[in-house]
Amino acid sequence: MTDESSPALAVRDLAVEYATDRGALMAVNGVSFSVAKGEILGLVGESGCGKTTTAMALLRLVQHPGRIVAGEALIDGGQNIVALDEKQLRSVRWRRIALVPQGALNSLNPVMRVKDQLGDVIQTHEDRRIGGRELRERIEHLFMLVGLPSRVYRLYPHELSGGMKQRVCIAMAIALDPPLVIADEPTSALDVIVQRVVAQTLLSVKQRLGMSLLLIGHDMGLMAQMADRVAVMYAGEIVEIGPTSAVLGNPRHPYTQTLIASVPTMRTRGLPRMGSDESAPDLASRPRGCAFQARCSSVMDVCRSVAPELRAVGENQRAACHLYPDGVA
Amino acid sequence: MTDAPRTLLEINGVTKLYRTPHGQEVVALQDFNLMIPDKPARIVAVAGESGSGKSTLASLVLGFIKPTSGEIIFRDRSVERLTRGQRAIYRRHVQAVFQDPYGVFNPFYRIRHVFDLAIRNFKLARSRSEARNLVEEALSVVGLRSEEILDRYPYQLSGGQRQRVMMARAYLLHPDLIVADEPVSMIDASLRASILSIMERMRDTDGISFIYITHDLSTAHQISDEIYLLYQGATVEHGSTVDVLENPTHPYARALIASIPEIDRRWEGEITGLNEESQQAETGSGCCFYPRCEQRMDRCLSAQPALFSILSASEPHRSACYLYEREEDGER
Repeated sequence: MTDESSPALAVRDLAVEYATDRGALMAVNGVSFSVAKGEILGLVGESGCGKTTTAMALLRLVQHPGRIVAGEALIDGGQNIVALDEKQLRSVRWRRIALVPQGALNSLNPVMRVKDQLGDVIQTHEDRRIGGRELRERIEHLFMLVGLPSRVYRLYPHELSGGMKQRVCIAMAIALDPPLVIADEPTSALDVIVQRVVAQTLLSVKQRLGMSLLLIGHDMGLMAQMADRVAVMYAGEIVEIGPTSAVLGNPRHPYTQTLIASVPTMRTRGLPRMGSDESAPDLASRPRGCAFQARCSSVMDVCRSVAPELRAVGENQRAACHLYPDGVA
Repeated sequence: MTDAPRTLLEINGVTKLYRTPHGQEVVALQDFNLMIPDKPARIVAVAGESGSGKSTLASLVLGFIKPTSGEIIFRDRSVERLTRGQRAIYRRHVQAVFQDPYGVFNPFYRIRHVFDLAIRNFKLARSRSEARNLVEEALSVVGLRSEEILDRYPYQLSGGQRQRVMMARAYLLHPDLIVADEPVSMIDASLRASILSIMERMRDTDGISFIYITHDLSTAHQISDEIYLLYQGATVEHGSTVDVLENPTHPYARALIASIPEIDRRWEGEITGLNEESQQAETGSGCCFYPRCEQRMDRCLSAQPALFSILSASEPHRSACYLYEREEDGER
């Protein structure tokens, strides 16, 4: 079933719907992408764009009133996460696909020592019983990989700094050596220097274990440091995807262009001049055509009737925009 | 009328200590000095990471807490010794905009209520039509239309709109100073510029100065004239924003700026010595950055360095690091 050429993760037409008072709301509206073996794919967008919901769907952690209504997600060309039953899911989570959660600072159990939380993950998901000494060795090996001192073994979460807690979460995610890790804003609550150190840790762990990483975030600057490719989400859809340097350096979709123009840099002073329209997309009443039409400065008639599909706009770069009807190279 | 005050705000040697339940003293802010001239209006950034003391500073300036020692002077008057009447005036002339555009609203009242309260408390208008005009003007300054906003409830507005409402409320009082504590950190990047440009416009056309408190050096770089960079409660570098951020001198400032993930520049190499764990290490009375510093010397453990002037800078630029100490140096 495993085959070198199949991607670590292949997502096709994934859709997640939330039931609300105002009717069904498509938080993720037919998203397709893949993560190659050893690759870091960044999934970026602003609040409410569906990036975290996508991640949750891939772990089958979408909670009521949300539900996955369409699509598939194949791990390594094999198991389809969307179709697994609870028992199968238990064998996939942590072992095949693991999560470094958003707000990892609060996701550790405050009344359990670090060693017991890590031990729990390992014991629960390994098929065999693991002895105390072996367990300790494994945990210490994990500490070594993520750069934690061994004294952390006996500590409680409140005794750790933010960066150390984040490393514990990374250690947990890689405890069963999964081929794919999903990291949701793994460094967002950290100060920039600590953020850089933790990002370096994540990169070196990825390198050593040869895993793939789906990196969820809103910080384009961080994506530029870490991701091989990025996918930009808007209103539950991927509007542009391609190599990081191409998407950030030569964005083609008007939304990506807005997003990148709004990122401040330390080399230019002053504010970017941009429209002040801030109407967030209303997911419960999508317009016909393109979801970005109301905010788009290049909007055309066709955008109000036909939803654009992802088309090639460069080498391995695709954008969903009617400005590029035949695709551009 | 007396003479015009020399300065709008002076913070002179302010220290704020907190005591933990175990009796330990924690220095939130240490011997902090800041001056904002009366004119022209300026945006003064106070930047630092979490725990650097920047929000303590906001609370001190707004009078929520009192300094352990030192003095805050507003228009030549010590803020701690204001009479009741003077304090009311101070509260009007120094306004605040906070980080969380969700938490500051009472969810049960329409947006109108925010403005009604301010007008009533500060007796800004004599008639309803006068009040209406004031509110309309304030909303137009922040790019909102009163008929689209006033009858809404907070939950019906986006974060950016709420933050504009808070800016409009502050503007309504025509303050001299607005303390803006992380006003854009919870707002999506594509909307930040529009909020920050309101601050610029208020500075340039209305003569309102800002203390812009932020952890984000790139927005400080975008809009501030002057910057104080804090580390563990003390100023480590101060000067014009261009000087400090484009030619940082303090090892901490350099590391911080080199770690900002920028879209068009990759991090260079790896940083190793800056692990936050060493942050808690005991340095006694020496430089608090010593445990993480890549250029530390024995001298650094002797005493907390004063702010030494950087002579090459055209405007006053000071750095709390012994690398810039000279023979004749005394404090300031």
